Amino acid sequence: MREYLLGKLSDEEQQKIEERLMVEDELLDEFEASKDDVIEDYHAGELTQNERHWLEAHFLASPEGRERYLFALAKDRFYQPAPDPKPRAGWFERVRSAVNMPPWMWATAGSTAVVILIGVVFIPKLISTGRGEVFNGPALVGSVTSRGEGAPPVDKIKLPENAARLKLRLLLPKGSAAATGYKAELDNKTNTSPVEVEGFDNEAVSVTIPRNLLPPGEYLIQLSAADANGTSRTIPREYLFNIIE
Amino acid sequence: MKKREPPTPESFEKLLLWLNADREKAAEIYYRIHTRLVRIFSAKGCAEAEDLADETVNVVTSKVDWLRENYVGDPARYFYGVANKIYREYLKSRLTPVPPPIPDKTVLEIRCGCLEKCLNEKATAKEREIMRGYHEGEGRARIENRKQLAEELGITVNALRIQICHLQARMRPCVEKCFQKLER
Repeated sequence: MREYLLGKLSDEEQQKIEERLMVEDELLDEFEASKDDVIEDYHAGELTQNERHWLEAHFLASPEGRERYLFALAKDRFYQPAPDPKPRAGWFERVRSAVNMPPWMWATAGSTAVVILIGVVFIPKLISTGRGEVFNGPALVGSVTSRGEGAPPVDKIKLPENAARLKLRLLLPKGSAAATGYKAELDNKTNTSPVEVEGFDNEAVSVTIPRNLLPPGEYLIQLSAADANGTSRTIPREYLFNIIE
Repeated sequence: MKKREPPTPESFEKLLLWLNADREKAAEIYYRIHTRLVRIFSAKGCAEAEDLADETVNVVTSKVDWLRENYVGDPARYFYGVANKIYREYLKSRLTPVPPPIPDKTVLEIRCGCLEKCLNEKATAKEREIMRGYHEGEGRARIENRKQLAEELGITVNALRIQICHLQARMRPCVEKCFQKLER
């Protein structure tokens, strides 16, 4: 049944299973339980990419599949509540605490930096493989308004099959005041999710977005900057893009 | 996909008679066939699984005179054959499905609250305990927990799995109903 639900059977084998489902009562229980199992595995990220795609194109495309998926999400939340996250020190706070470090800690940090540098220079592939392939998307200009006259055309991005994350470079408005850190929120028109800021300079901010946040559709990224005095300001730009199939 | 007219009451009666001479048994068989068709269409990703099952019934009913005279075999298999053809027709006009959206935290919290409510209302204390035990841990630890739980209950892991499936099947409509009420 699991193989049937995950698209691993030939057409003929699928039809045989379906015909049996019509007449064998005992098989129905196994069928229903297998649906729960594959949804659980899908949610836990334990399916291969092909299995995910098949499930999304078949069972999860049906109202029943979606209802079971939502039920699985609620169940997971209920039985595995996430601990309250400790507030993560922003970039500015981390640098400030580093400046206040005693000299012996600087030496340790220095040698750590060398190790990290070696890692970044010589083992990028390993890091990439561990987190999945990163697809470098376009640099987004952003606009004050995303609609109506004067609005720039919206970038259309097609994610390669093996891409686990999308990286985007968000160009800052000219003359933007320097910031000590940035936050990015991804808006899919239904809800917003924070996305990882990978780095920034005076010209742009780089973000990476996990693939599971990017089903085909329209998206907007809103940036906010943290200043040296700890205040936050919204970057007056809407970074729009479309994910296409 | 062009839809047929629903069957007339007379045609539907003929269909039931074809399924079984006893009308009550015939109605049970009909219900079982229709439900299974819906589940198969759902598993194949059909957004309109119920409509497609109804259409299958419409087509079969339109041939019931011929079937009563000529068909030999389990009627369920004939229904499946027709359903298969209807599915292939449906594929031609189906929109490309997209992955399910992940609900935001507030929506998830509401659903979570509904699950708790439904478990309290519709499950026994023992069932709640089994559900909790079944969902403890992650990955390998979860698999081991389930083996241990099955042993403690004196049943196989598969029997436990089916038991949980039945319990969840009772919870799901309750959670949906609760959510629809709270969402308004």
